Amino acid sequence: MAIADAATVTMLDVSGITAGYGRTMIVRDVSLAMRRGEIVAIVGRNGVGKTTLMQAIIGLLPLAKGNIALDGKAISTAPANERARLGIGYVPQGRGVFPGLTVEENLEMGELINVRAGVTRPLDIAFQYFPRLAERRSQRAGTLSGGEQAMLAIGRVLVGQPSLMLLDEPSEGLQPNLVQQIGDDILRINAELGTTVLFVEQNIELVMHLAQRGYVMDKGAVSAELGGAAVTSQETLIRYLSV
Amino acid sequence: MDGVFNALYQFQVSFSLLLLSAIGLAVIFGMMGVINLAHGEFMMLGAYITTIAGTNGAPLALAMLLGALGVGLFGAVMEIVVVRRLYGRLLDTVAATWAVGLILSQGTLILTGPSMQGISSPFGSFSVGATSYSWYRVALGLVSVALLIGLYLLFMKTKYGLRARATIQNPSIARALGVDTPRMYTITFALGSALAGLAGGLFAPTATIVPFFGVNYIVEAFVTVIVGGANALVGTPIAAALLGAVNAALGTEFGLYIGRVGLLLTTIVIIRVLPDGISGLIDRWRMRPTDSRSGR
Repeated sequence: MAIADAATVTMLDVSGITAGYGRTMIVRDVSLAMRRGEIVAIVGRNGVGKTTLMQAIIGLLPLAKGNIALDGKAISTAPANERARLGIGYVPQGRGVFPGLTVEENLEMGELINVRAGVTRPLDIAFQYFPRLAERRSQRAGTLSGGEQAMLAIGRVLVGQPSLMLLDEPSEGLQPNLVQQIGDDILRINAELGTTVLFVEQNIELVMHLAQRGYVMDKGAVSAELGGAAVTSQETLIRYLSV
Repeated sequence: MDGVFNALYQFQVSFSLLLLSAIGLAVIFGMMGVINLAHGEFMMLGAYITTIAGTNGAPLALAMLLGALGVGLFGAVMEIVVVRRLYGRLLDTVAATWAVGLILSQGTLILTGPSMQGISSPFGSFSVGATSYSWYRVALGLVSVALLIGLYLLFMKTKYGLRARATIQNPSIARALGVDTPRMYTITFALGSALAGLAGGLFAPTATIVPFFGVNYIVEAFVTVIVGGANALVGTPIAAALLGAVNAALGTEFGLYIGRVGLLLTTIVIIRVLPDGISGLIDRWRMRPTDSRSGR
């Protein structure tokens, strides 16, 4: 494939997926597509299926219907560990750090991400973006502050240098100045490493700060697509997010 | 002086008996939350493999290694065929592993008869004062300590160990980070099984080789695991040391029967005070908030 095509070709292609728990389908017939290097937001009120969609994309929930392709390769039936190895870095809601492992051990857990790409993966890349983690490296993750745990969860997937990062509510539980800081860090990662970012968010400031475009979810389905202008308009976002 | 030596000797005999009996059970329970009721029969299987290999000319150490490997392989197959289908269903796992245990002991009875010619305990004996002691029992104490160090290195210093510890803390996150968690469970179950097989092989020269061999160790194994709690590396050795001290002290003074009563009474008191065992207490202490806990 020619390098010139890389920017225009679809990197993540989610088409018509339906997923849920047991027989209850939470996400119904959702389609979205992302190009390499994009930052795309998924917005919507509580309980509309944003987290379920993320879990379906990483593979923690099986698909009842539909297809997911990463770089043109079908991954719909691959287990989550296989999708991670193909290059998806998943940062779950509530961070999902391993509380009993040290900061350094948590970072080492990111080493299997994108392992197929065969690049070397020093922990330094996490320390480069989050120097605070270097000071805490031998401390147990469960004793970190909320802001530090957010950095650790992002730093952990960064170690594997994923081609696609999935962030589920990166702002959750953070003070406004920390939300701004995490937003800056994600922009830097995207600009310097070329990482494609798909994120779920309810914090309007962070959506405006990060997103190039977005999707609105309502009752488990995509109800609207937001272009560059809409996704940076506070009024539009308030309309979609207010109860 | 002789009394002090005798007390130390009895302590390390009790300690190694409890530790070796329990460690395989503790690894499987602590790392997977599975209670393997076939643990005693796994020890029996290890003792049989070791004895058969030993009487057919294999050096004792090799025979014991074969016992560990054979039972480890059996454990891997059992995880894939039986245990895997029952994760999250604790009572079903208990029933299924119990069934496997019954099949193993009855099958052995049918195939080999009620007993088998054993192998004699190596290394001979030595005397301190008027009392004679077995070198082999001393060797078992050293093997216990070596095994603990080996397991510590395996779980704390290798990638397998890191991924296994991450998997017990949060299996779905570990999986989303690329860990093949079903494979981790197979390896861990095989490891716990191999440790049971090794323990059976190590005890084989000191015991009669019968299909119900495991019954002699299963109470000690469970008591040690319950007192130790879910962390096999921290809880099990401390529990074995504590219970071993009680058992040896009472046993030396008042005889084996009182020693065993003391062991069980101590267990009742500890699980009444610490329902999640000694390692539960230690984990709570380790995770306490520290002063460094502040904002960014």
